[in-house]
Amino acid sequence: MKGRLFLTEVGVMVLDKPMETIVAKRFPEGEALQLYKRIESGEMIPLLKTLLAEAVEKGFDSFQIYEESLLKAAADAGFQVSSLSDHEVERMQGRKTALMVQAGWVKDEEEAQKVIRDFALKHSSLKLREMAAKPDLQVIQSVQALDEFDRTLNNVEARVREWYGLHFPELDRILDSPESYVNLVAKFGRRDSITKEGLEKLDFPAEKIEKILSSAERSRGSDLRDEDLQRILDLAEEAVRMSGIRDRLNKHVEQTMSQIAPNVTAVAGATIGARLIAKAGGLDKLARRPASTIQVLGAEKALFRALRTGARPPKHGILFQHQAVHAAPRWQRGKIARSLAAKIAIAARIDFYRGTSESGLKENLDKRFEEIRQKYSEPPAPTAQPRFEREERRGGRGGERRWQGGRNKRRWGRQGEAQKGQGRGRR
Amino acid sequence: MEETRGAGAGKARLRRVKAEGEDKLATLNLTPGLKVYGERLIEVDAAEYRMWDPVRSKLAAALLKGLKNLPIHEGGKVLYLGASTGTTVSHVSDLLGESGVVFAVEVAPRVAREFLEQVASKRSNVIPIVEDARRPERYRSVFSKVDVVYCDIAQPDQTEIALLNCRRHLSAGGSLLLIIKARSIDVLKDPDRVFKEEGDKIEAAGFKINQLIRLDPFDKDHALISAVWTE
Ligand SMILES: C[S@@+](CC[C@H](N)C(=O)[O-])C[C@H]1O[C@@H](n2cnc3c(N)ncnc32)[C@H](O)[C@@H]1O
Repeated sequence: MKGRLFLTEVGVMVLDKPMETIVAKRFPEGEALQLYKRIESGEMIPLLKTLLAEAVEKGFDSFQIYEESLLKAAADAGFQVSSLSDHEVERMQGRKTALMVQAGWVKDEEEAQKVIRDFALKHSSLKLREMAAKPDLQVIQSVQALDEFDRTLNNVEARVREWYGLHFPELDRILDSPESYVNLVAKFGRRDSITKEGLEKLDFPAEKIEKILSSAERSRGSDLRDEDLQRILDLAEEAVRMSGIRDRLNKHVEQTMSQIAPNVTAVAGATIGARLIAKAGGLDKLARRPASTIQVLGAEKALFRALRTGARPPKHGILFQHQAVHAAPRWQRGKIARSLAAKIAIAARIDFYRGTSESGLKENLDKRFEEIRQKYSEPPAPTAQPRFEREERRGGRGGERRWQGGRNKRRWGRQGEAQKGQGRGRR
Repeated sequence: MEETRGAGAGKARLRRVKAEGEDKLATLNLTPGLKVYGERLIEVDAAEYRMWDPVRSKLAAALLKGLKNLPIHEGGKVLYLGASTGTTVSHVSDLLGESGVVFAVEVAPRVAREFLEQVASKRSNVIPIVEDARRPERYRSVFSKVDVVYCDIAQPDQTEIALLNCRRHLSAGGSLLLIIKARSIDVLKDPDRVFKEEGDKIEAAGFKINQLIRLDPFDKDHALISAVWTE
């Protein structure tokens, strides 16, 4: 018996030609729009697979499907399919309200009509959101600007530190934070102009002030000519100014993210969330990615290499920057990254399709992290150590993962901090 | 002077009222207290009516210029192409009443947003469809054939688009109301010739033209064709 697949606002059904036998699956409450759109765009979601499998059990051996992309997906999933004509779809559309009653989804056609209208309102407004100037495109620009800016700022600060270090080498050890370092240089210039009151104004803690003053007095650094000092000051002042721009950019990303993707922000943090959106190409695209893809977004190079050479696939891309992942012991990271990715996938869908903030996502995830930490508190036995295998395969070439991890640690370190809301430079 | 009588409420859904010595139109407000585009609300026989401005709405202009047998009745179904911000759709919604339904298609995001917020979300008989009228097979919400296709999309090929929609969604014996803006079809041609040519296309598709009404002075070089599908 041939079945016709019919996608409606309430659920999906399979019908025989006289529209008597119906196998139907209703969309779960609150997910109708999302699932409808995914099916429409040709995704074989689990609900659909289950429906077709049930229909097969009820005696349907092949399916007629109207949506072209779906036709292909169903064929790929191993079902017998053929395409459904315009005319046949029209026939079903024309009986939609009656069919919804027949499927037991609504009590009468009046209710069906109401459901269809409610859906049309939501569907239309989602469509307009997709068509309008997309706010996620704004967030993509801001976060990319932030990342580029950060790199430049890092370079300038490092240069100031090194150059000024000829004059006052001891300061390097005393001040970790690049921001306080350039602040100090910009404010005082030569080390013998540094004063206690000035340092207090910059909010340094008392013991730091003590150390700075005493090392300045006994410094073994060389003297600075005026013209050299002027150029160092130029750079330091520029770094201070850039730092302000950077903080405003960062705040902007945080604010925009909490508006357009509150759930992703809660789960991943604003900056990481924004980078994921940028990498995926938009919130809509992120919302359509499966968790497994989200987990390795940003590690495409490693992923392709793994596919080509049979090396181990990467366990995380951008998600490595998340504190819970990079702070975890090596053997827990993959698991933590996986559960983080799964939550982000859910969060992105809620953000995109529903646009409301969902409570409990973050708490749930933290609980999951805690379980992983307890369950896998010990490193795995040596035979199972991935490092061994990897080095063997790669012939000790170092490999993308190590390189990437190392680079990320340095490069994203400060962004990790900003992530936790401390702002840059540990003020 | 015909009036559409509301079967349920027993109230005329469309009224002609005299104001400032002139003939004016008003529709029974489906959402009492709410205005859509700043129109005046009046009370007649203990019911609230919305004045229907012929300068803002071409259907009102056509009625004032003598359109007979308006096919939009209480309980009917209408497919409306080119809803824009919903000025005319809101009056169509008044005419249909709670038991009718108007499927309103609009493709431009800016006006569609306003339409959703100001009209569709407030009127339970309006079903919005954000879609290109060139793709009638994509209107998933249209759950039955309609009695009337109303088309006002100001496109050069709009007659073809209207017919495409009729073929897909109009019931046998249903009506087509087509607004023709001569200048959007051919700027140089004489408007009367444009109207005639578009009318010929409609007849060739199996429609019988009941009336062709020029909408001036309300809308210059516009006309409304009212036709019935006979095949
Ligand atoms: C002249 S206005 C309609 C005014 C409206 N009928 C009224 O009386 O309130 C034309 C509308 O048709 C829309 N439109 C044009 N081409 C369209 C298409 N292919 N599909 C859907 N709407 C279209 C335009 O965006 C515009 O809002």
